[in-house]
Amino acid sequence: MRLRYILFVGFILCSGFLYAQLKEAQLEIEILFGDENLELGRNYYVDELADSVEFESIKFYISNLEIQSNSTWQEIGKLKHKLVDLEDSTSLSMKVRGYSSIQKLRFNLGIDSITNVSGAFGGDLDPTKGMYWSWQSGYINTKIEGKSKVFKTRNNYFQYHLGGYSGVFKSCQKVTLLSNKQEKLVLQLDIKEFFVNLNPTELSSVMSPSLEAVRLSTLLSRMFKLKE
Amino acid sequence: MSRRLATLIFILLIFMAFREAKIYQLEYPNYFPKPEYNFRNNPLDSSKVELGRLLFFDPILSKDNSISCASCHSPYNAFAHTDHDLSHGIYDQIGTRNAPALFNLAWQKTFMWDGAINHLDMQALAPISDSTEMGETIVHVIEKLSQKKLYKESFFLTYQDSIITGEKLLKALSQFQLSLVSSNSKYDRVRKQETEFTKQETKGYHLFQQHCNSCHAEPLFSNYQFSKNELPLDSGLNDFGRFKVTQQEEDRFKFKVPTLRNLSFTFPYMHDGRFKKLNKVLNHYTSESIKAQFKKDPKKKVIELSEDEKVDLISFLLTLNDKSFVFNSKHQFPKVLLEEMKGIK
Ligand code: HEC
Ligand code: HEC
Repeated sequence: MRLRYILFVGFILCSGFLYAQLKEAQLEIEILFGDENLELGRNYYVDELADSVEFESIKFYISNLEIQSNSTWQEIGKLKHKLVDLEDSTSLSMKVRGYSSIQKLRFNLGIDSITNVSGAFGGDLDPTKGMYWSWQSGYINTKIEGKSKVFKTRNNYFQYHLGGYSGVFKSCQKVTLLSNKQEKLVLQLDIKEFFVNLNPTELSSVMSPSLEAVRLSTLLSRMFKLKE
Repeated sequence: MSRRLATLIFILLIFMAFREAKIYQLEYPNYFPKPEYNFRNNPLDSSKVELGRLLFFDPILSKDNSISCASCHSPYNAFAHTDHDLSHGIYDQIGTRNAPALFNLAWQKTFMWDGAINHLDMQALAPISDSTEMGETIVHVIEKLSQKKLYKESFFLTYQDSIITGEKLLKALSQFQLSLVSSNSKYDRVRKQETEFTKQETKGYHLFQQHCNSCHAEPLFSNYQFSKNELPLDSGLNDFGRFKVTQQEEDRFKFKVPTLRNLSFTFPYMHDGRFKKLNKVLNHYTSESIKAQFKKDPKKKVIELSEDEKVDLISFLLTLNDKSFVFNSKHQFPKVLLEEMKGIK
């Protein structure tokens, strides 16, 4: 019995040691407004709109993060589905494994259709995270909320809840980025570009699966880049 | 040291054996198809079914602790809401649809009259958050549950962890609802060759197969597809059915085909509860204007029934009532909850 016990402990130690050999690193996520880090509740003047804008909430799902090295794709994220929430700084970085020879990086902006029809999940997918519609099934892939005088709505509010997982309303977007072979992976998302391009004066709210939601999701997905 | 380890393993084994013993076997007849629900992601377990029952009957799920799931889905009505055409929720607010019966849910692909919900696990979020039903949020429900000894203990016993999450709550509610299988009507006993139909019921069965089975398909008495049975639009409700979900023109006025089991317990009928009696339903299908509508659709057969045939058909429909389901003591208000509620007051 004692021998087996020692073998068991030895096994655990060895596998722990081997695991530690795999390179662990951080992937940082930066949400920008133009050249600077976006801060919630701060007023930004936008020349193109001749008015200012303030954001109250920016949240989105990143899922199935993969890297390509040696022409094969492999998953690197510890979490299959990650909720990025600007309000929660711990959500802005994630541990990834062994990317030293990375050529490309890809992920989904949003939650894939299969997950959307497979019932309840925990962790970042738990419906208590506020990213699930209740009256009609489906994850909200992205939530962007705030106010600006360009909107003639009550309190000048705007709300974009982007989601939809089937047919023409599929809004989950695939993002593929070329690696610049930096030591540190920093994924950047520029909200200013998004906001200026979406034609805000005509659109103060998107709250359900729709073609508008698909258009805005596509637009947002183009605003990602890897930091030079 | 080794003795201690052995003791530990022994205790673990006993614990596992206990857990194993609690596996809940979903029982259904061999002529039922394979369930749609993927049990691998949420294996049935008696303690989870029991926890789900507690939650289903507990008004703590609503904002002012006044309305439970069972308020609109009563066990004595095969978990439908009788007497009300449209459901009644919190602060006496009236919803826009009739509360459907709940049973054989494991075989259903989509939920709600328009299929807006794609999975049983996610269904409970709708009534909990609807301002005319329970008016709550799942986050607040979990806060309330976490303050209750009864739930802290029950969640610990079932999940070996007293931290309550949305996932655990929803899956437990699913488990109780999945356990609601109705398969012991006279129709079922005939199929199991334990009894026989009367002459009249046999005639009714043939009429059923001829006119109704294409949509209300045996043995679940629904094909669970979306279809239009040409009910005239209620302009007060303006309910376009499936169209609301898909925005596709061909889905306008389509609703999910409801099961015809337990009809005696689930009146009134249709998505807005417009008919109180089965003969009213049959008069609808055989009225001249509806027959004209059916004629226009190449996929539908016009339904013609004489007055005698209507009586025969109804006598068959009544063989789909399952008393043993409706009065099953495992589906009633849980005793622990009664004690808990007395404790508060
Ligand atoms: C205020 C009344 C009310 C309450 C409370 C209520 N429901 Fe319902 N339920 C309804 C109505 C009405 C529908 C049909 C809704 C629709 O089609 O849009 C429904 C539909 C359902 C369905 C779909 C059945 C089917 O065949 O598609 C399920 C499952 C269900 N409810 C479970 C629950 C659970 C679980 C709870 C408690 C968390 C609950 N209900 C609370 C009224 C209610
Ligand atoms: C073309 C498909 C179709 C055919 C054929 C059909 N039905 Fe229906 N039936 C439906 C649909 C769809 C509904 C729900 C409509 C709604 O609520 O808007 C329904 C609802 C009902 C209901 C109400 C059930 C409830 O719980 O509310 C009854 C009873 C019923 N049908 C009986 C029959 C009978 C009896 C026949 C044969 C004479 C028949 N149906 C033929 C599609 C059909």
